[in-house]
Amino acid sequence: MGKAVLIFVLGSIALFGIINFNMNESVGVASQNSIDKFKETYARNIANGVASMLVSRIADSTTYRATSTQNISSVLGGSANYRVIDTTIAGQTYIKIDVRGIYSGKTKSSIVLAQIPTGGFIPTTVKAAISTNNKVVTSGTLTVDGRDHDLNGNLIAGQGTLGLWSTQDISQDGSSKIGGTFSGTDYAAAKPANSNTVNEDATYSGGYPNTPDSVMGGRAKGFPTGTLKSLAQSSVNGSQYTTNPSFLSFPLKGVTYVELPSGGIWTSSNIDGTGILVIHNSTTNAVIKNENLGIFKGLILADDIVHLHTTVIGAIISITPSPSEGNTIGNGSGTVLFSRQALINGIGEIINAANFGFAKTRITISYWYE
Amino acid sequence: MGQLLELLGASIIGGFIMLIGFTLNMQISDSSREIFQSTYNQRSAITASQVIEYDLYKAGYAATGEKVTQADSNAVKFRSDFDNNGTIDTIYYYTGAISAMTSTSNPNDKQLFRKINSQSANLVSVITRFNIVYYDSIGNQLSYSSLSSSVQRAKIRGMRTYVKTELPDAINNLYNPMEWREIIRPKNLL
Repeated sequence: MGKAVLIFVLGSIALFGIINFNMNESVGVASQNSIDKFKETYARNIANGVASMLVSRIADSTTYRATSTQNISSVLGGSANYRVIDTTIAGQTYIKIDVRGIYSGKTKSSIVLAQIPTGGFIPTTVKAAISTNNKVVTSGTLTVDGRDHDLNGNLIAGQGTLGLWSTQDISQDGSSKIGGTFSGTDYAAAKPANSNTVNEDATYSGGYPNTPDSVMGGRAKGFPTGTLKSLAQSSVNGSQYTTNPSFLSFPLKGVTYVELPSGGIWTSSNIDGTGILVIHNSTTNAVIKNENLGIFKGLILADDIVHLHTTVIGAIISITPSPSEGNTIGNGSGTVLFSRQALINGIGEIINAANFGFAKTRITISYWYE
Repeated sequence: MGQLLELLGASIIGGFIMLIGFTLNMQISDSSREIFQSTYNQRSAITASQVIEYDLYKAGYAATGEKVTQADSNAVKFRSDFDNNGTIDTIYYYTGAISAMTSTSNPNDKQLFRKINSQSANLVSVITRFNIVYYDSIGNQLSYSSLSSSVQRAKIRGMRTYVKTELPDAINNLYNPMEWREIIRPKNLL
């Protein structure tokens, strides 16, 4: 009996040992499952983190590429390798950021497709240094020069446009001067203006745009209705939105959107700054008058703009077909110098601004594969 | 008489020792089975989470137009080039009927399926609950009733997925549930 009990007890101990070993193994597997999950999550975080860093790097330097695989031996507790190349998918060129994050033997990858920054552009609605949908009169000593200029107003030969373009009549009064470029030939501002520098009673194919967003090119150019206003309201890159111009901060930057009540006039105005300046309301009769202060570099989109007495480097577009005061656009010593660079820079201040990136260039992320 | 008492005493003591041994073995056996099943259960949950994560993180990738085409509490359908081969696929997650699980004693288990385009559906895992909650860009929960509208579905920026797995058969009347919950914010829905 005693021997039998002893055998039984020893057998039980052996059995217990075997089962306990198996249990420990199971517990180990369960723990390993959790650990693996943690490692995978961490590796993904590394991949996404490095991809984000590279996006910021491209935002700093849009020409940055790494065509061969680069290794980072220590990042966020793990390691990573990456490539940054240009690639074409469905006819569209992207910057492809391909990252592998590695953490404790686990690898996760992230692929980011970013649009190559294009910067600003010159809207097709810019037909001249001043484009209007109404009768326009130049007076006083106003100078309208459609020849191309740099940001400081220095002449750039042969790349300009017309001085004045209108769907209606253009009158040149007083000592005002108009110049421009036609077929690569520059014509200095003069009175009377060379006939190649003005285009009156012109037809705008498809109808003259009647909102600031449509002037910018509408949805096709990334400006569906309300875009400029919402950009201004978002304060992106120093943009401002106001219904009372006395609240504006200077210098103007990004999109400055002044929405006046019907027939409202922003007079004795300071327009010092850059970017896109919009003076508009839903009835298309917001007026900016007596622009006396500041130099504006960029694009001015106004329902009705009269009595310019300061300097604009870029271009002006007037929207209304029914201007106030016969649209005497200038009756003093104002100057409008067409400038491609000022337009590109001004519009570029807000292009892609609503997207990813923290550096000097905004990068649009099209797709992120993780 | 003395020998009889000695034999009786030894038998009682031996019986107790054997009883203890039997009980110990049974308990160890139960615990062992429970741990084995729990590990299996955990593996099921992790497998489901890995498959769902893999797809959901890619929701909308390379897709234009409508990205999430169905958003219910226990089903989601979205478009994505999930395998990065240049072709947009439609991925559909949904659950089967509880009544389809006839071979298990768990009254709540059902199958979680993953269907790609028009291919036949693949089993992801056996679960007892699969739930998705949808959020907009500022973290507000979108009601399921509103998500019948494509305009509302276009506002989806985050999805909280919840998977609960249980043992197919109870051990000591317990199904040892395992839960996985994660908020996934697919970058391509931004």
